[in-house]
Amino acid sequence: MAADSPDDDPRERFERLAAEVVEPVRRFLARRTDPATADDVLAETLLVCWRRLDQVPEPALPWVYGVARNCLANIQRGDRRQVRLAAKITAVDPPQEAVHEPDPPDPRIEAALAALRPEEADLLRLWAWEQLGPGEIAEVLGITPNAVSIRLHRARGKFVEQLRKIDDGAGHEGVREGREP
Amino acid sequence: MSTSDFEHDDELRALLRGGDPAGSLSPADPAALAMLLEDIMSADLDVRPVDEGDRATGTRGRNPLAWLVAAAAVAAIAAVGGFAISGLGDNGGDADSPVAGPGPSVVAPDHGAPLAGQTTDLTVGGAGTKCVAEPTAAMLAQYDQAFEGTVTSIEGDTVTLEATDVYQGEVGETVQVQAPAGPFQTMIQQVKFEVGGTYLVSAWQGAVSMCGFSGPASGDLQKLYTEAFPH
Repeated sequence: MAADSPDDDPRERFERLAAEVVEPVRRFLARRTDPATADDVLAETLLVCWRRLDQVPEPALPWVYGVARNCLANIQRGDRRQVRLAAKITAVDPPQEAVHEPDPPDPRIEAALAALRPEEADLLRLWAWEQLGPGEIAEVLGITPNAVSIRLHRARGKFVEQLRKIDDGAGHEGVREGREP
Repeated sequence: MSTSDFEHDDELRALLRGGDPAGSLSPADPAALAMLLEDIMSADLDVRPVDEGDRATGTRGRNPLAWLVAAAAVAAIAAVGGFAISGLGDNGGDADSPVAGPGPSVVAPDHGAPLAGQTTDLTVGGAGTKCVAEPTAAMLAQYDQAFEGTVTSIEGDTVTLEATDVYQGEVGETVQVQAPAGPFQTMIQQVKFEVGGTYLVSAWQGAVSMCGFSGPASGDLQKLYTEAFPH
């Protein structure tokens, strides 16, 4: 995030940045992890933003997604001892959205994504759920836009193929059930 | 929707969005979010010397749970490791350290000998420096200088140590910690500096950290240093 002026108060800049990215990052995390971990990673991501405020590019969101993605990956493979403190707090004081039951997402989508390689599923999520273009996805993943375009094309093809298999499989089951005596 | 044919990417994108688990996520509670942001900005003082008068305004009423969230966030970020904490532009000019250099390194702790013949000058964090929660190894690992040393003199406003073992950063053979009278007395009391004693000392941006991160080299503090700087 570029400063409007050199004298711009960092606290104000951080608050403006947070207002811009918090909701998209919360959705990003809700799509990829459990609510307690999402809270932890959101706090971490914002802390990185605060500490690296002068390095946040414009537009900020793809960069911040990249930070959140790295924080999540580190938490998922690392020691959870410290961050579980925050998870307990979530249980004491649940966020408002925790009481709402979301509409169940189409299970076929989840199944088809799960059948892809994780990197391919990740690309499709960034493209369809975060609605990023190849250039923005490239920034999140740290690869070139050209590589994103090629891999995205391939991932879309595989996804459609998987979805077709799932639909066909469901159809066959129906037929078999119909033939049972 | 049929999956037999996707002539347009938009159609596929719309189909994928039907599987979006965050489709109905409601917005964050603004009050909770404001508190989180405030805590991030305030809790960070624990690892950075206070350099702005207006930081004191960040101390409005805050419950212990909120502090814990912030402390967890600070600790968690230390564990992330993938992000070297580069110095922010507003870190203040009162924390100059001739040996530490401009950027702290939290990624590759180097455990070794002090720099022969060199003197490292340190100061003490301002009176506004706040402590959050209990010190943890993950938080300690963020400090850009950490060493073990023996106090050779306490004169006026200066404590002089002879560094014997360096856990993190570059530290000269001789370390002089200087501070104005108020913070100096606080430091002497909190760290319990005495001539001849051996201490574990950590510093951020040239300022000795207290809050349980510096003190006599024994027991829990020794364990904390060993855990924070395993190399």
